[in-house]
Amino acid sequence: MTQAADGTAGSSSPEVKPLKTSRVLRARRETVFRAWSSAEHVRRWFAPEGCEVVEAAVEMRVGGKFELYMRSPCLENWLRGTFVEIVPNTRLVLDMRIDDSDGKTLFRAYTELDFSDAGTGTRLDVTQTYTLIDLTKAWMIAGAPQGWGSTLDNLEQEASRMESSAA
Amino acid sequence: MLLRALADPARRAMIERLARGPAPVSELARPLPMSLPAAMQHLGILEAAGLVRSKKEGRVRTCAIEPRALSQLEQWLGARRTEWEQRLDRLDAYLDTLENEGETHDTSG
Repeated sequence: MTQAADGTAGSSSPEVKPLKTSRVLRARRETVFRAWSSAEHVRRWFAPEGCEVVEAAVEMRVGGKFELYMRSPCLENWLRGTFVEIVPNTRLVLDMRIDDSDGKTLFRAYTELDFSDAGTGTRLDVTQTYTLIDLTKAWMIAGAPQGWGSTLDNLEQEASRMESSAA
Repeated sequence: MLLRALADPARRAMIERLARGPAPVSELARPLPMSLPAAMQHLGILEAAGLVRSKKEGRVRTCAIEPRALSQLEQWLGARRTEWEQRLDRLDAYLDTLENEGETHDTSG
């Protein structure tokens, strides 16, 4: 097969490539699992910084809701998810989507969470597979609330570039 | 436009294939359950979105990925990664609170 002409297209595939990250957390497995189990817990840590959680509903059963309505100074959006798979203290699968305040879906995020022991703590493996629906808005979500320094700057530049090229 | 272009599974399959290197239209169409003209139409959408460019050499049209469009997606993914890193930081901090509560009244899970 021929090489990519510019030699820049390093990674294998674009947005279809799932995001994988993992973290060893300083808490027992049951506790980490429990942090996902109710709206009261989830609203304390899930939303991006600078986002106020206006409403939250979490029903930890297959088909149950995992919903947060978040507001930051710049935007409002819904995270609407449902529990697809629940293996207590071991695995959670959530089918999520991010909607804007008009109910328009910006992207979907199929989210797999695997909990395992790691010494005295817990390893949490996150795999999130995205389906992007509305890019221009998705960019705004990526950039607006967090104050991520250079990432934010890049994203805002990209967003305005894309907005203007879309017009 | 970019996201709409990627919303279709056939077009994502094309992009995935092209991410491994340039390919003629016929090769892109082959694994998909569709006619060549339908595949051409999908490619047209990908080209219009700036994700793919193609050039005709003789009777063969060869397609390649447009790396700049992909880097936008990579940045978007990078932002999602940062979001998770920060979320896991907050989770870790919150777990301290939960563990302390758990000491006093443990739940059965």
